[in-house]
Amino acid sequence: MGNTVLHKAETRGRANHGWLESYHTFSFANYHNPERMNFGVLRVLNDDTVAAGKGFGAHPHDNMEIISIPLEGDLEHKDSMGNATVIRNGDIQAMSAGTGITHSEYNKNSDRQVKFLQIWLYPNKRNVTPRYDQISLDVKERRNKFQQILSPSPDDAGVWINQDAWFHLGNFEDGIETEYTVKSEQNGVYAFVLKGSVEIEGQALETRDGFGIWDVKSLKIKSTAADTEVLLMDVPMAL
Amino acid sequence: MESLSFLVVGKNTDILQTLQRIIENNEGWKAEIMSDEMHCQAYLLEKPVDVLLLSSGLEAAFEKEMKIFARSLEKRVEVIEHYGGGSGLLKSEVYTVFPELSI
Repeated sequence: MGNTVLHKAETRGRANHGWLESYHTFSFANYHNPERMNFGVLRVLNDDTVAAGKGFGAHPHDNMEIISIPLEGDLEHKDSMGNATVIRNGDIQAMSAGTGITHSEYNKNSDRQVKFLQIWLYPNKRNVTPRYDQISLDVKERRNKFQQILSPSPDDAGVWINQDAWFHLGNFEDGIETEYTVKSEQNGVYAFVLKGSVEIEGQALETRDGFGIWDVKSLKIKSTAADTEVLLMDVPMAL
Repeated sequence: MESLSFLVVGKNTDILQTLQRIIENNEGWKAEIMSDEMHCQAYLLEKPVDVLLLSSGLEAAFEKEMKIFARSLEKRVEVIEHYGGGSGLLKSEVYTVFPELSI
């Protein structure tokens, strides 16, 4: 096995603002842990729950590739480029903040919470022109296999960003074995278990655990519970 | 908390104002913002701050020049390339340079 790092779910930073509960895999806002700064260019992995009707008012971003993955409920997005959209489970949203973008994110529903992952990657170039992208994917295409949801190329599957990164999502029945080939020798893979449990290169992982591995060419992955869902983030290890 | 002075330079006024507000929410931290980078060196010579925070929209050559210039000053000025444009990463970026402040 290559070099690894294990982040158990319960060791993540937590912020509870009432309307927002957020678990931070890496240092973010008032959570600072020098041992938890990044995994390669993966800098932020926030596991957010926003209360009914609440949300983030207009606020700016720059110089980050920001990916939102809705897990439950409907998230309403408006930005300074004129985009006004709603994303829900099965959608993937990517923003290249570049020279600067202002946006808001609200739970569209007044009767139920919204859960989503907010992921920030350092870009491979500072100060690009801001860009917004959103796609809807057929979740059946990730049944017992990995479905690519993000890449560096506009011509490849999923959304694209300004970084040599690839994301995949997979839903697995119990006992399914699969192999993932790392896209580049310079990349490592950070796996985040959304539901269920899994073994990656023999490392047992439970719901919301994170596991990073690098200096490997491929990963052996085995689901160990029914309805297991895993996100793989294949990212450059060098900043 | 120990006092820190910042000069935040960038081209996006909304982000500059946001960063100033976020910085000054911390007791003892003060920030000036500047959107005309041509005045940056003169400002630092007159008011040597603790941190030069490079915000968005600046040319790569200017960022490189400022890192060299900051090292040449009599009083050490830490240069931070800021990412994110808000509160998400700011404290981590500052604490990485000044680890004693995070304790």
